[in-house]
Amino acid sequence: MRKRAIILNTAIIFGFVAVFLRLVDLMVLNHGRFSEKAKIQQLKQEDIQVRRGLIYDRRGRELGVNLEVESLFCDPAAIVSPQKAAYSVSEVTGKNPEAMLAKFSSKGRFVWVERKINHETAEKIKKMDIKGLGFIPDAKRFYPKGKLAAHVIGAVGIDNQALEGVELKYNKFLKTPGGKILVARDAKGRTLSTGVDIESKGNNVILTIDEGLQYIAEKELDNAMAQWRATAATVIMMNPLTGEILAFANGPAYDPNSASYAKDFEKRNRAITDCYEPGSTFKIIVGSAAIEEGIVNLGTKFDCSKGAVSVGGSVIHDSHRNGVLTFKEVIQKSSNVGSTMVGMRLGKERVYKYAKLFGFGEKTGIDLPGEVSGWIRPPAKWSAGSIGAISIGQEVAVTPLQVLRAYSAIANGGVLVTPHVVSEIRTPDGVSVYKFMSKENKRAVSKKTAGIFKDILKTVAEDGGTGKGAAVEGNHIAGKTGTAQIIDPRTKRYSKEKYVGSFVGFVPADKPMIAMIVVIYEPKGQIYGGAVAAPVFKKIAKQALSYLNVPREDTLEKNILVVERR
Amino acid sequence: MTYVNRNGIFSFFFVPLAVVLILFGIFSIVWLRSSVRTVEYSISALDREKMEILRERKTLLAEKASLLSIQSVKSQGSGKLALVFPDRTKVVYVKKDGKSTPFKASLEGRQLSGP
Repeated sequence: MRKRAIILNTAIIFGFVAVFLRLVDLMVLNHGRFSEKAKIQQLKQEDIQVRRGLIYDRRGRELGVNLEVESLFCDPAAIVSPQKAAYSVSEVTGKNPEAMLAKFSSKGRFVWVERKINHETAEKIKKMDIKGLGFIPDAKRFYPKGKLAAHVIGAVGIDNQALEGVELKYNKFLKTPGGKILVARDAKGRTLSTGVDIESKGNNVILTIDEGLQYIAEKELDNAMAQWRATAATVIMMNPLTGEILAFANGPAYDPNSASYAKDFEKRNRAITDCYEPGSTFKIIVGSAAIEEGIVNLGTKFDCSKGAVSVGGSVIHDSHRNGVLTFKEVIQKSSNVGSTMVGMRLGKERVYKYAKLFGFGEKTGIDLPGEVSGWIRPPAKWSAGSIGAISIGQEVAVTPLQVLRAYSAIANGGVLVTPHVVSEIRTPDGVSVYKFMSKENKRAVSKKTAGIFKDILKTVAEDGGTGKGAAVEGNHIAGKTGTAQIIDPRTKRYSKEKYVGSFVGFVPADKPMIAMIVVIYEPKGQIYGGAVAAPVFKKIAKQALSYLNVPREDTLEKNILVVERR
Repeated sequence: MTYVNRNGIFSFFFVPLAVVLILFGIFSIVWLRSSVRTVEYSISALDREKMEILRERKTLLAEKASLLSIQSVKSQGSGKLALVFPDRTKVVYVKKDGKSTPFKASLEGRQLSGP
């Protein structure tokens, strides 16, 4: 009995010693190795879900948001029956089963099957419980207004990488770095709460664009393009006092929700990337320079009766004979002959100086990618006839935005503003991280000159002016028409069929709320800016003034009901 | 002379008490850990629910933004409701910084009350 007790005791002691030694092995000697092994089993590294910041218009209306979607991937080696799986999945997604089968049969352990699937479709596929298929949460950029302001907002690619517009320019604010977090999971693979938000949001961008004005501009732009069968068109609306872009439309446009299907010419942001010869809208240079330099006064007369003038061997014509015109009438009737005479009086150095002062030949600094500077050659490189050509807006290349900025300077008393489309950027919690601060604005001409030239521009939309079609009932407008020939790339000469018609101006003339340019490229049936672009200006301005609640200036003379209150 | 067997009392009371306490302690720790794990599962489920609701919220926000677009409102208004964009001549402008009473409220230009 005693012998058996000794054996039992010895066995128990050995047993405990064995357990103790194993514990020492697990907890002391190999602690690090086993601890790492356990971590690998229990902890799973997950990507923090990165979401781009939202884009709003100036009144807080959403222009760019995110949708939660899922992306389907597969491990082809793990799929038991690729054909059956391909058929089932393509039935739900509506995609080609053969293309799906190719993915399911490909080599590698990770293949994207379908990106950005909506939740309902994903749930249907999940219910099929096909081994080898998996989902990754993803975000899809969605532009709820479709084509609206597409050239301003821009677009992103399949991996939400910025491609165009504000999305690209302000990418560093909109995107967020993301990262990874460790999530604990149990033996069944169920994750346990980390207590950490696994979504990282970028900053929200607030544009200067107004959805209402943008809609009006795009609607009328589309109508004009259809009416004149134009190849392209541009409308920009800006606050001439601050440089805030209120509407920015190019036609043809594209839907950023399907940017990958858009054609290159639809994506072109013509307002800042395409140059054209401005034609008569460039007469702002010789006109305001002549006033600023004291070379002319409003009554100075120019003999335009011959309808043509010879400059350095080339002849510049008017569209019709005008007779003797005052300086004011030269601008009002857009006389090429008169403008050339003014330019010749100024001389090439001063014409060039004022073109640069008005910002031509350099970028406006708008916060959109791809802006070009246009060009104007230095006087040393001008030919004998250049003074005439440049005075009437030839031999120079400008963007519509540059022209609009120059006219805004006349509207605001002579100062060049910096056009911009983003006013503020805020964190998701509403803390402001960026606000547009205007740099020191350069003065183009004196306030007095701007005032005088503004009065001349007002006559353009009155009886006898070339821009009468732009006149808005109830408010005075100031502006200028422009008609320019396009150089035919085949003949390298000015085309007799292809023109650019434009109108640029501001309204109300004496207390400007909006400055606007309308450019119609290659209109058919009519070519003159006064005929093709001025009416578009009128239609947009009329609706925009109503939208902005800008009162009419003729309430007294027309006996219109006006109610005042404190 | 009476002798008290102290070892006997110790074995009788304290040993079982110690065993019970140790067992209670062990079970308490296990129970506590199990409860914490259960709470973690619950929080995890709530997290999933929260994500689901946030997903839905984002979808609804996008839908709302789409439906409230001016283009959409205009097409609804001019289509079903037959509304028209107001002509500027039919708009009454209310100036916030003006007088408290109407100074001109007649198409004939009558002045009802003075400015």
